Amino acid sequence: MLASFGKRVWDGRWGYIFIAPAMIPFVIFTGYPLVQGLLLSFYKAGVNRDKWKYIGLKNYTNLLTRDPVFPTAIKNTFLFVLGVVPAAMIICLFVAVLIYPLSQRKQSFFRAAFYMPVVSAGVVLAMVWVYIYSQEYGLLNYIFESFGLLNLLNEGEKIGWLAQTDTALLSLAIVVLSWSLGQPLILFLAGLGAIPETLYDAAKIDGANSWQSFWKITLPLLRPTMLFVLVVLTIAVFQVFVVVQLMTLGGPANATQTIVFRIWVTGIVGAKFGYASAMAVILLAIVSVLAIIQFKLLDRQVT
Amino acid sequence: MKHLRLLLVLAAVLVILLAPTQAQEPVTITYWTDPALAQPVSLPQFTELAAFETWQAEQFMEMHPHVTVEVRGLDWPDLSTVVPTALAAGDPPDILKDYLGRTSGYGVEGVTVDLFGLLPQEEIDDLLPGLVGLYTIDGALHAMPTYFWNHAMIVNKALFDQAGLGEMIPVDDRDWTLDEFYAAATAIKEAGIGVDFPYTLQVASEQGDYDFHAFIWGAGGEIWNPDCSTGFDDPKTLAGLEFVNKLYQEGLINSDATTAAYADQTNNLFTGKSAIMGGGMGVLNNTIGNAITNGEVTVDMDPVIVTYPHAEGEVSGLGVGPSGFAVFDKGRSDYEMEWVIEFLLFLNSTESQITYTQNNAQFPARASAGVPLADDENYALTLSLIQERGTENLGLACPGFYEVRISQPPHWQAMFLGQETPEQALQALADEAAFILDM
Repeated sequence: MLASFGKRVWDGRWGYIFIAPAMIPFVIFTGYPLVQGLLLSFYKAGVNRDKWKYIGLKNYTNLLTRDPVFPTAIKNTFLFVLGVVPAAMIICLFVAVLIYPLSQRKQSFFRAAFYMPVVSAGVVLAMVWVYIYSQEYGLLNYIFESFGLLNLLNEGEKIGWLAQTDTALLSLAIVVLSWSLGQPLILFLAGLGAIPETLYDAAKIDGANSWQSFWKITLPLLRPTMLFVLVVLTIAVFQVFVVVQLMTLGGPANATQTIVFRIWVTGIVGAKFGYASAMAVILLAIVSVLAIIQFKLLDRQVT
Repeated sequence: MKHLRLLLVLAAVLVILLAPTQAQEPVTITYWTDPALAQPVSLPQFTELAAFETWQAEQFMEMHPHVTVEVRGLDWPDLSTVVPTALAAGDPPDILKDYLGRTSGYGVEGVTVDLFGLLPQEEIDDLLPGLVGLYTIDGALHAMPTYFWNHAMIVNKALFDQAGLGEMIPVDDRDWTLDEFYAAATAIKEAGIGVDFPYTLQVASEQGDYDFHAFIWGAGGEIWNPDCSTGFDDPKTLAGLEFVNKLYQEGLINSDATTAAYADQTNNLFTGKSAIMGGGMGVLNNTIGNAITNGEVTVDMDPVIVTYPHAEGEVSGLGVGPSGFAVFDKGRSDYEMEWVIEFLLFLNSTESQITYTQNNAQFPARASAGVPLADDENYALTLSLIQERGTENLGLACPGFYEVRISQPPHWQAMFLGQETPEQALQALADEAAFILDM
């Protein structure tokens, strides 16, 4: 048994050697902290390591039954994901289909324009958006005022986009959306490029219009790309943090609290490392379950 | 032969004399500091974070060449994130200068050394007894206090004068009731001189909470009781909260208070959109002083200090918040700890405290430092107000202080936005505090 295992390892040694440069950092910087985080979630752990105490599932029961903010953070995070992910997918797909027939030069311009926020510093973008949303001096209120929309929406009063509970989350979602478009767009364009032109030619001969070609050829063949984008985007949006930390600090009145922001507040600011780890484990579980569901739903149609 | 013997004796004497110096093992001390002295007023050559403290460390290293001091400056937001993380990683600094509201948490957790056993008695005796009491947690002196800020109210009297309302400001006794304050705030708003929000406030984070709590204290309520239980169930706390809410709902507080930061708050004051904000000597001398110098103030400015308003029969004390030097337990040898303490005493000497307080307009923790800004009439006035009206209990050394502190802004925001009544906000806070303190 052991000998056969050893033989298999030996036979595959070159494979292991080749994946080692990726696996070693993964084990050190992801695998080990993951296991440590899981273990830590069963401890009451503060800044004094000598006082760390095993408390079993108490962190989890507190989180799920007593914590007054965590349920709000979960709800807000889901709202973020449900708002941003489908919107980003639809916009990117739409834009990709629109710009794909354009010349390479024009395509490059759009690629760069949409990708710019991805390579820009999140902090800078967040600060720019803070000014855009500013109640007193913000660009958005200025535009709304210029078009008379403030009269229509708020009796002429300037809107505190980040100061009102009913607009704050949506405002942050738009910021996250704005810098989530670059990567899916590039991927969709690449996916479109992989679809053989002959299929469209054949469809044309059969009398299919553009709309039918899109539904019957483009969409089905883009499903692997869509699955990838969906999973990656969902995981990324679940981890929304920077905009919350820089723009609202979870406020007003907890309206923009998210899971990762709670983890930061609890673990880093509040120094309750065990409790924060339990939150992180719950986030991991949620994201894993969703990823599995997404794979199951789309994978079936992909293959 | 005689010469040789003499030379040998001299050599032996030299060896004996030099022996202690040569025997001194090198010591490396890490010192992290808050940014309170990032731009000292009277030392304009220091413009960078920790530049002044680095210069201090260089002075010390010059006196003690075997000691190396590594200085790191931390911005305010970093103090509540970097230090706990370093502690958990087992790599804190030897010495940290920070606010009591944060260092007390480290004292409660037992990661600081007890300075009672390490500081000479005469050094402890020189510290103001009230501060020593505040810094004593479970019988241990968890840090050495160095100076304290004060918190009162700053009124731009020039705007009230301009509107012919100067007499509504209590410049004689610096004392007013909640009703008098409300009348003055309403009058200046209605005067039509551009004061949109008489009182400027920020409740986006915990940073502006004393500007908020002061109304609760003025109503006789408490956030923290002397026994470190919370005062959210106190009817007087509710009365204070209702008063603040009334100010907000009637437009006497800036409408963006739920998202405003300190810069927005001061901007309101500097541009005349507001005429009143919380603050003490630091705001008066440094914040407003620098803003005038930098041309940021666009209205006439005549800032005066008054205490926060109070309900009939109550007294408004001043908020007082000390900073100090915490020494972390890193398992240092006695010899190393001896030098850590030596450096601590250097940092917190009488002369140093005078320098600090002259530059950040705070008050020294040592009796021997006297009154560093004795010529400043507001400094003397503040001291007399502290003596006359006393100080408010901020609960800085209470277990769970910081977490309870950061749990409050969401509920103040919810109240302002009409999603919670003051009663509901206090009930939610009481429940949350109970949960935090129980964990």
